[in-house]
Amino acid sequence: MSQDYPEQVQTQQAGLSNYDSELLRRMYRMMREIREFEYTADDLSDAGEIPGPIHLYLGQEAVAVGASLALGEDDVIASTHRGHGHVLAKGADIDRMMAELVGKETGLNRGRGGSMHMVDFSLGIFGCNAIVGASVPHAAGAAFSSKMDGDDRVSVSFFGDGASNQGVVHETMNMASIWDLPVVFLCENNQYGVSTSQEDAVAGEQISERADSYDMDGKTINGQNVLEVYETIQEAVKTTRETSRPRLVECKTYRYKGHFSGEKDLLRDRPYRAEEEIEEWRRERDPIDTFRKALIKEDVFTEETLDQIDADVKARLEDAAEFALESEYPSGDRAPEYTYSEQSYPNFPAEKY
Amino acid sequence: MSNQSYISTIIQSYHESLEDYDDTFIIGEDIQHALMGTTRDLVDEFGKERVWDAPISEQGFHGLAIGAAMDGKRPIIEYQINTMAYMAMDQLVNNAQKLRHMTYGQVSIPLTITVPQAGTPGGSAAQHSDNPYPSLLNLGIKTVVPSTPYDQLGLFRSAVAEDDPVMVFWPAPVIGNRAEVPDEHYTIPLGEADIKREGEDVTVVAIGETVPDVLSVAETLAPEVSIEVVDPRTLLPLDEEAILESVEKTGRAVVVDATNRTCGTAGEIASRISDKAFWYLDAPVKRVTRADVPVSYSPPEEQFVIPDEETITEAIRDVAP
Repeated sequence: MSQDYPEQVQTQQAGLSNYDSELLRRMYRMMREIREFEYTADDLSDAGEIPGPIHLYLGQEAVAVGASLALGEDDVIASTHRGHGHVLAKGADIDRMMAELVGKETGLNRGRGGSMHMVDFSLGIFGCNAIVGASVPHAAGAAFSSKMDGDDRVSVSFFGDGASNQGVVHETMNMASIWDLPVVFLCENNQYGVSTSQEDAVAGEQISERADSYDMDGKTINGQNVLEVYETIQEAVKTTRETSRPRLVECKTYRYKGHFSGEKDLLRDRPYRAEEEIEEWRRERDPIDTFRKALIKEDVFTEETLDQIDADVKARLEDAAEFALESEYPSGDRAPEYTYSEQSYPNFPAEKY
Repeated sequence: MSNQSYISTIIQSYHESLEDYDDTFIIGEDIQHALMGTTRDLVDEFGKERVWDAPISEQGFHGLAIGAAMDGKRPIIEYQINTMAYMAMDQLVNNAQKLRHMTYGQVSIPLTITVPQAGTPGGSAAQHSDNPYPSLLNLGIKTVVPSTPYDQLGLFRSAVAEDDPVMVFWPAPVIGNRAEVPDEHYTIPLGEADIKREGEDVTVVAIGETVPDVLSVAETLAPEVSIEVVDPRTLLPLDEEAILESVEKTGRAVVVDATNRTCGTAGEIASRISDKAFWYLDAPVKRVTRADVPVSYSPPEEQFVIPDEETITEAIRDVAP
């Protein structure tokens, strides 16, 4: 295996002939958009423009893109604290996402949520969540509701290796199975829950094996290969839609940056993983670089075409940053709005004085 | 004396606890690498058998620590997030807190739970910006909220020695502060308030992160009103006597606390003052609290709901002679 052409490139090359080039272009562009979004967010964070911690999705782009392209617009996703990629891939407006990160009035949540709470219910985005595992039952709840309505929507529940150890995740898998809920549990195993290696935290060889306990199909795949993710989730969604049986797909992936934006300062003198490990994932299994090489080698697109996409995406994100920075902050006294559905009672909700 | 940061007293507290009690262990998320900076060097010194990185299974590891406590251990749980108690309420409230009473004293749960970055770390949005102690106080859990490095070190020594569950909240706005701390060993018993500033005209009871704000306001207002600042330090048990004594002297009281208003800590303290010092009062007891509104991500909304110097000043002026 040469350094220029990791094995993953060859694997992807072999699958390309099954695809329409327009879909391949969308996959590439969307992964680039997520990556550039995260670079931009990281820069804004370093520049002090982002009020809180952000959790970057760099390295995991193929999972969000492969999964989202396998979903219909009405299908539902529920996401995690590391949700920018999921939200973007499901179709959320990039300007409004960036504005939300900066805490502005024009953001998806009007500045209420920031990095960890983005939603767009019109696109089936039931939200990122700051509490590990908390959104998993929400995805199942949407599936439950869908079943009550007799429609054919499917929910995809994104969660991580860390969340796989939460009781609520296990409880939800059990309910989804006994009640035949159309939900695909999509575990993004990025190897670490903050600083804790999944090797030290997860019992058993594969997280997907836990599906057996709940009488579901379970499968572990390479989450760095966008084609493999797309094909697997497409098949999973199709079967789930037809049979209303839940299933579990574990995508092996890797986050390049720290758990959150503050980590580089907090853990500077006590790393929990080797730089070489990060480098190896970047070199051998980067979801965008390997896909790009495969596209070029198979003559699907020329290098110039892909360069043009890269430049377009970069310009798009520059616009998004400008939009976010130029938007207004909400006024502080707006804070009590929408605490309750009806707030016409006196001093309700109560003020601080 | 030496000049110590609040966080360095936390590190010292953990080291002392593991040294002083053979049956103590620490469990939490990412504590071996000291993500919060509080558990530095613990693994090197005491080994992984006493410093545990738990999976993200909060209800599970709370229950596990409680079970170990029932078997004679003295566990410490450190939270990574200030709202983690919500994940573990059943184990905390239905089990840890009730077991002694339910078993007619047959078992003790000497469990210490620590909450770094309590309150409003800034930009952390609704799910990571709470001070959940009023609900825990309501359910009977001993609670300590040290506002200075000196108080932290002295109170922690008492907290870890308690044979009941104790929650220690380390407020985000003060965790970076520094102050003089004695080199010699000392303890501060639970249930003992501290007069942070003496005054004659108005008593301000200030809790945790609000103490520095209140002291700052007291200094600013010094030419017009003499303010006495009482820091209860422990909320349960509460040093009611110190608070009442101060109010009996000044005849006026404002209670400041960075938690929700309804059924909040300030409400409880204000009620006790009204009940027991009523005939000494020259003005209604006022409260400055958080608004009953979740904390937003965007800075202007975040600031709007938490106590600030301007509002504290307004409340003091409203009761001042």
